[in-house]
Amino acid sequence: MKISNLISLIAAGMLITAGSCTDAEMDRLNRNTSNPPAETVNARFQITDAIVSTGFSNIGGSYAWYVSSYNEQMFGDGNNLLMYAELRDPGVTAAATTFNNDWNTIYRNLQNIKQIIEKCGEDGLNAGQLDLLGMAETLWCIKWEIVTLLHGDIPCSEALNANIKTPKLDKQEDIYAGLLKTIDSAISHLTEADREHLDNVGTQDLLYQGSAAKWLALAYGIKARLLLDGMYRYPDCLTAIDETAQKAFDLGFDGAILDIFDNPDRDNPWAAFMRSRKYLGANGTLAALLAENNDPRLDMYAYDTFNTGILWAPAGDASLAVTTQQVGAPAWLSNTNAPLYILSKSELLLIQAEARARLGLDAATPMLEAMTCSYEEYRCVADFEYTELPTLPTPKATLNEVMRQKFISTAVTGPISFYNDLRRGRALGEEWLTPQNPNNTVAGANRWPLRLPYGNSDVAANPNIAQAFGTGNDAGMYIFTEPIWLFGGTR
Amino acid sequence: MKLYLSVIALGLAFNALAESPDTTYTDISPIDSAFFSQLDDLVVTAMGIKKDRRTLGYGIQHLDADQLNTAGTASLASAMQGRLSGVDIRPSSGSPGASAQIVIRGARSFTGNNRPLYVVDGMPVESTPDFSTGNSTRGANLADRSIDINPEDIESINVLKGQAAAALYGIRASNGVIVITTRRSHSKAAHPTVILSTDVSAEIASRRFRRQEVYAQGTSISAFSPTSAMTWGPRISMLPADSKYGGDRQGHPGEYYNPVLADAGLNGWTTPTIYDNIGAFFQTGITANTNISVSQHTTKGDYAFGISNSYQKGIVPTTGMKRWGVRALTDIKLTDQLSTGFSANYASTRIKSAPSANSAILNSVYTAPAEFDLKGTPCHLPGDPAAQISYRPTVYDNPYWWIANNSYNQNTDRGYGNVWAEYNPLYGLSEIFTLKIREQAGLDVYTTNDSDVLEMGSAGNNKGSIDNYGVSRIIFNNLATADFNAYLGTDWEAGLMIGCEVNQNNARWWNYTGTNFNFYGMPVIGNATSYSSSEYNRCSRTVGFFGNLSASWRSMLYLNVTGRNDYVSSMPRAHRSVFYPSVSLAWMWSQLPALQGVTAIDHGKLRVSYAQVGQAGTYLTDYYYTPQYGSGMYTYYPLRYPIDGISAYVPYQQIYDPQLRPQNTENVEAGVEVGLFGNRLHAEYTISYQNITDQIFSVPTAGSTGYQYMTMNAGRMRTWSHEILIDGTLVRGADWEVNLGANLTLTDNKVVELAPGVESLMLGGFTSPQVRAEAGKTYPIIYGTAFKRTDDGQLLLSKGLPQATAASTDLGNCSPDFVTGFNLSARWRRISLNATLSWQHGGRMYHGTNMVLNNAGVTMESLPWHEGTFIAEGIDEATGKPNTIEVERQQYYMNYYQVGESGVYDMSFVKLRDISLTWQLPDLGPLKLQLSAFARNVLLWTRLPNFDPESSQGNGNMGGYFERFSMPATTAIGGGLKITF
Repeated sequence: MKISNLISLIAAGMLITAGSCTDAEMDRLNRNTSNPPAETVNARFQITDAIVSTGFSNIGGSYAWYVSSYNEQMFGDGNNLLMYAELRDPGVTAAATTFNNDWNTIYRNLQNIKQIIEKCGEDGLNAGQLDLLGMAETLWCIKWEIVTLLHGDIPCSEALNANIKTPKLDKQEDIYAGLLKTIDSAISHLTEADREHLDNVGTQDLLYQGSAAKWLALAYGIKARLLLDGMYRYPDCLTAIDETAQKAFDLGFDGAILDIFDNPDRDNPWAAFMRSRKYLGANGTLAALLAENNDPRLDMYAYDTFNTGILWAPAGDASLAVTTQQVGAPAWLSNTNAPLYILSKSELLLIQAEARARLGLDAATPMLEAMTCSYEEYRCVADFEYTELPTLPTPKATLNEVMRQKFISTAVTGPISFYNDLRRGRALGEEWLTPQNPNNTVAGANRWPLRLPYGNSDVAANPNIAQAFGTGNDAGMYIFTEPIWLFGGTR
Repeated sequence: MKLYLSVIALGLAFNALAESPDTTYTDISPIDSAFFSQLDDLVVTAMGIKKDRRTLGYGIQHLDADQLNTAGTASLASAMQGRLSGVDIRPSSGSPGASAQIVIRGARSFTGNNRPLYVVDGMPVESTPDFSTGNSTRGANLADRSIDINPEDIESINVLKGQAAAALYGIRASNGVIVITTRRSHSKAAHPTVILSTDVSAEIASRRFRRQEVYAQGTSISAFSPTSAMTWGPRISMLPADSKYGGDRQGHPGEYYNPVLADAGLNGWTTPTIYDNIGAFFQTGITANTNISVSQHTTKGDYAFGISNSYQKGIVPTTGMKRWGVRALTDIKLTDQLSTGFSANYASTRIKSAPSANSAILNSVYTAPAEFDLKGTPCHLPGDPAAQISYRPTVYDNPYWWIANNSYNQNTDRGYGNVWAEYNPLYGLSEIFTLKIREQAGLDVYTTNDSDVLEMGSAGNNKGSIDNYGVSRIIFNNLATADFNAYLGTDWEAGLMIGCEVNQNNARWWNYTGTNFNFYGMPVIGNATSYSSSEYNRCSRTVGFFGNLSASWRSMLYLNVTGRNDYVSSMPRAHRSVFYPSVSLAWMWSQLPALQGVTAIDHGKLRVSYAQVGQAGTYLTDYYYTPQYGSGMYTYYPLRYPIDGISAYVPYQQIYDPQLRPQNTENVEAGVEVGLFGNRLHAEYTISYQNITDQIFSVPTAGSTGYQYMTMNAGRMRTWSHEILIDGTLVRGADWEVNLGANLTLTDNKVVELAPGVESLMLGGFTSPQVRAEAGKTYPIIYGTAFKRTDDGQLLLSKGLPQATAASTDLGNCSPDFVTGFNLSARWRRISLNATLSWQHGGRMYHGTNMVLNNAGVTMESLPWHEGTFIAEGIDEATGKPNTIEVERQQYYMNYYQVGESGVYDMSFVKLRDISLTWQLPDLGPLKLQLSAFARNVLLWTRLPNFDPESSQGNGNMGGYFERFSMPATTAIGGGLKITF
């Protein structure tokens, strides 16, 4: 080979090599061809999961499973995490790791909604889509309501910002005030959207198929519940609760039901959890109340799932908590197609009934209607067939009875709401039900969680939360001594 | 005329240019042959540059084929264990195809890749696992791709440990490089040499767990419970007296009733009998390796051709591995100036494994009550094979049902190799200068098809599922170099090598899953009624330009300077170009005139080096994805999109810092080497300091940011490592030769800081316990809930029972204090004995199996705790005074083994890794016969109770430190035959 040819060859090779690493070429190679860039996705595709996650992860996940044990609506067994919850073991109930998944998930969901709201802003991809905006704002309130009522003071104003890695804690008082404003904004936007017959979401809305009118009714229902949450701090809100709930019904509120489950493709989270772990059973406290009232819902609640003859377990029973597949579980835990209730009609009726009972107004009408609704909700989730409505008891609509009915109905539709109610009741000095779990106190010390511990990701990475959580033997123990601000505490 | 400079051969031992028949690596001519008489210790360094190891300014370790423990294993990692200093090899288990984590001089990345780069015959090949075991709390182990390399094909391995040694490989080589040269012939012969070798071994668990056989199934001493997962029940001998199931009062004296037996179609009434369920479950494993090779070395070049087969049957039924390999290489001398050749390898690897941790089948084996005949009791209802039954709730599979129905399969077909041409334009034109121009193009192409099959009736997924997933990779690597050498008078030698390399990696991952089978017996996609699928494509390219300048003075001082600039496509625009320098200096102090007359000293060297090498990360612009719903609370994905045709997008939970820049490892290394007494004693000490800054990792963000991770530069690690190597020939004679080697490694791998606000970082495991990196601590640690204690360390008891802290904490450092290996090689006439002993001191691991088995009352250690009450020592939390509350011993023991801290154990061990006896028979004409007998992992002393500490979860950085019903390590005994003609 001639040297000149060799040099030419080397020069050509170097040119090709140099050309293989230009910025344009490297950019082309590094393009993510499998996922869309954030700014190109229409927010109508985002609202879908904002809805689904609210039902599946926030209302139907670990938060609900654990608090249903605290509420004595379910019995935790299986010699594992839910057993420790049933035994009120602080190593689990106060641990930052216990609710870490739920904490992270709900903030991730909120990040999604935040970006929807931003895309609905001026110059956004979804600018002017008030129906979409109103839906996002309603879901925003539902999720923040869950996270602040369970955890108290939380990161909010500095949260959901990639540039602020250690967001500060906001006072619950401020967060709560903000939520009331946002739900009013949602109501305003949905009213406008309904008036203009907007339908920017359509089938991507798995709750109401894009109906702004139905979302508007739901927004009023959520507002009523938010107002009820604040009743201890703002006792003169009772009339507003009654009227707001009534407004929801006037607009046709018939329950916000996420009915997307269709085994084998999609399983209800309660049933999926049961199918996977079998950590839940029927709790004797609720079973006894149903039996005492001769309530037909008992058949669906205390169910001999494992053919052991053990239909339910006394709250806190250590010998049954250690077992698996012994204690019967409510029938709906076997129904993978059961719908989820983002806000059930029975709950909103009982919210109204409570307000009315406290105001001295007629509570019986909403309460009895709630019982009928609740029976239907039980039957629907348990997939029980019946030809005619069984005779339901007709107790007197006292405040205690309203709350006992709420205890029964929310076992199916919303244990988190009832956990909030129970703690609000404690703040008000009211005890509608006598807790039966002997593990709620140990040597005089309270072991019934007054709130849930922060998520571990923040305890580990956010000094503001780490400080609030505590260290060493004191870590997490504040959950037994300090109620959240809305329920009489300071934080 | 002496000419010695870098000799570029790019990993190929091409020696056609040298006419000398017995000189393996001489490839420059004309050369003073006297010089080469000194070059008896040539090693392949970066980019295939061969150098006398005595002239290197950095540490490198060379292993010949006969130093690899290949008998009875199909794994390269296993073959290297105990032989290398500064190299931590952690096998996940003795299961066929099990992954192994190899880390040289401590980790450089918190959560990313810490494995060295593998270079086979000059071509970088993929060695990392394509699928991570994630937190390693469910499913089966997944192999790393070094499993495709047949250790029997290897002629030699050079381990480039420090960054100075590896810097020429650039950004991929910060973890060191394992340079492999495959077998070829070196003796010129008229006929091809044929080698047939085979070895077969039988395997059992290296340490067999023995359970207590006194107490029966149940949750308390008072009652037999035929569905409990625990054995805290009554004494087995007392079962006939049990109030509910005992036969003494039900007309079956001496018997008891077990409804599970009745469910299985057997007579429910049975007499108390002890069964060895553990012994009955494990089978004798088999490993058989067979290799046939044909090779020849001629004046025109050489060639080698080989076929190999490895067959492994695991000790867990249905597990195993089959691997076929074919390889061919040629080195051809076309003219005095031009030569060419190729190396081609094909491997077909089939692995069947079994699940562990939360999906484990061994859980149900170990916890099976002694009075229950697990093997002899049908594992499903009569006539309904999908309805499995077990002695305990079937949240865990009955192991016999699992092996009859389920499987985890990994199938890879792979080809890799390269073609090259080398041009030596100055050949015959100059005696002062040489120039070599070389071009090499290589491919590493493979497809992995994995399948996780869960038949209808599986635990936690009783409708069944099949998960088919895989990856297809095409990696192209082009390397061009020009190597110029010059002799500059009597004192000076110098050389310059420049080159460029392009590496492009195209990968496509896919997954298609079918669930809910129509009927039992066809666990295939076609029988599913619900489907989901996904795919992901990724392409990356690295383009590097490099140079190597070397100079030596009077064969005493050797200076080597390298520089490489990489352009990396996976980084953001502003940070794609990265330059890495290295410099090394070796001083052969034994060449000092004053020492020339000292016959005891053969060679002595001081060496020092400095280098920087980095690792690139992956930068992507923020994107959305379609979520799916699953968590540790579910055993399957309960919800996936689309929902009746409606899909969704949400922001991905991980975001990327647009300012991402490559992380940097700065390394200073110094060493001293000495060869004494006619090279009968060689000793070497190396100290190395690595400062790893700008770590790229996915920083776990506070959940309240709305994201989970941000890929960014953060954190710093530093590693001090000390390595000592001693090789001595104790006896050398016509009949006898005894060599003894020892190596010692001390590695102090410390996490100096993580990201701002991040104190610790999870590497895998459960929420508690887990393996994690924590700022200010040695890397890594076990982290989890501890016992609540008073300030002076006493247990803080609640109702007389121990309790856990709500917060997790550091439960112990995983890294050993030191690791040492001893190698014996002895020969008497035609018989030789080889042995390797490993000693690891210190280091802690989470051993979930011990913890769970204690909690369930299964271990022998639990025996004193089944009956009676006592008052535990400790402080009563309620009163602050010494505890006076009497509790059941069982309850105390159970509570104790619920706290994460109770599962953390010292894993110090001494292990006889292998011992082999070889007999070279007298030649039978052209036939050379060699017989061998060998054993692996035959002796073990360890502080860990009940199990071998070298069995764990995970194929990543947590590997070796976290165990939970993992596949056991094995002991093997076997023999081999080698025929050469």
